Amino acid sequence: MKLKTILSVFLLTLFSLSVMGQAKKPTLMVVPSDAWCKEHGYEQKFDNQGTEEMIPDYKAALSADKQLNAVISKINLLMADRGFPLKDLQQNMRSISNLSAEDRLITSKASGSNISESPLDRLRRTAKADIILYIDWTVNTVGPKSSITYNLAAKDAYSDKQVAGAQGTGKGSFSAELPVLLEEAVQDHMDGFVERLQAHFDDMLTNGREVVLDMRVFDSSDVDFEKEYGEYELSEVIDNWLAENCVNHRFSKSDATETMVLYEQVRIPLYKANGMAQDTYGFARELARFLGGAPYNIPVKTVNRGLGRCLLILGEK
Amino acid sequence: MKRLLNVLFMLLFILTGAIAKVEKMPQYDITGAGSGTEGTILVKVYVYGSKVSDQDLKRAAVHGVVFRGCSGNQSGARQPAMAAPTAETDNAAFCQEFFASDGQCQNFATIVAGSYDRVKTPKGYKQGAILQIDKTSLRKELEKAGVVRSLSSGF
Repeated sequence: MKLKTILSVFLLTLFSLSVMGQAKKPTLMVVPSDAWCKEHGYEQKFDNQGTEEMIPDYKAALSADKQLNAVISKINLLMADRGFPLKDLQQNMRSISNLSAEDRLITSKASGSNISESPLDRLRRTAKADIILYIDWTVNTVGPKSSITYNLAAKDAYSDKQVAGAQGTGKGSFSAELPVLLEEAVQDHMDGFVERLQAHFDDMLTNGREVVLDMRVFDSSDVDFEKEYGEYELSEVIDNWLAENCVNHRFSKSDATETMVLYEQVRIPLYKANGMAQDTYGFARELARFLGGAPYNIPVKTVNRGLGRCLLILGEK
Repeated sequence: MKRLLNVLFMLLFILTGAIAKVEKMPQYDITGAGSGTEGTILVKVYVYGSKVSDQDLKRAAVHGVVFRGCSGNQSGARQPAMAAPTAETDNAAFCQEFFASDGQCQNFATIVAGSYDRVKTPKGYKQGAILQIDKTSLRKELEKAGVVRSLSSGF
């Protein structure tokens, strides 16, 4: 019995040691840029509450354009070679479609009830990643000479910042075929792109993950961000908590009213106090626990919006 | 007196031996020479000197790809250096051995046949060639040694 306990403690320690020291890895995905989709006619109409919008049709682009598939596959391969495999857009879309079909068929043995799904769950079931790599290229032709203008931009899905990029026009060729020029462009620009991405990761590892916190209130509650606690308003109380808990006290309050506050460029530590990896949801839950305690006693609903964004709604759960 | 001279000669011999072991990287220039096949890069290297061996060209090319980077590729993209600027001094012992004339660096470079070149300079000659560097294998080897960091390090 004693030996079993020692063995369990040893294994648990080993597990926690292996978990510690590894920050949560962002997911990356290559998608064609909006401009590329528009130029090649891969768009679909979308009724956005009465306003008609044109949005990229990735499914059509991936099933019809062989060059796009070759470029995405090449980037995926080169990134995998660098020890950072990417999420594949086409496979991700296929998985979502297959899994939602499966989910609809699953029932419980006892009552035959289905899996519960809210409208929000349905809306969220889309292909997503923490950093999106937008790819775009144009073929330039001058007489018999062809060249490629190539553009690859990595954008953080939460802060909307461009974190890395590579672009340029090749010298062109009279004889090389277009797929060859395109392959060369992808290959030659990859190292510069990865170098910038590495600089972004280094910044994250040094200064913390840059995230966004949206704060709202439920209309049924009497909580608002101007409510006073002692000599401080609630939004100031939150400012102070963030200043204490962010890396180097770094955050910016981009927008604030009595019913909403938007915090951007919030630098959260990559690890919790116990050494475990931390994401925005974990950080937001710490803030929610602080606001739930005395003297504030505010219930907070925390909605996870990915590795780098979280919505906190004050007043109810 | 004779004994003292013997000791001095002995010391001189040991010292020159030690100095000879620390091989200096020859002075060289590096530029891109086009896109290689997947996982490789083509570079044009010129090494300054009247007697330049294939080994010198290879070690200069690999050293350039790792620590200098180069420009002038077909796609107009700059090839950044693989390692951080301080990596060579931080890993001096490994680099000394790796970039020696008979070091492991020789395995990652191949001279393109018929690409040799010799140019007269105001101070003598520089000799060059186009070399193909196996970038993927080189990176993996240097990642193992800790000279180059992997993109996923820290995650």
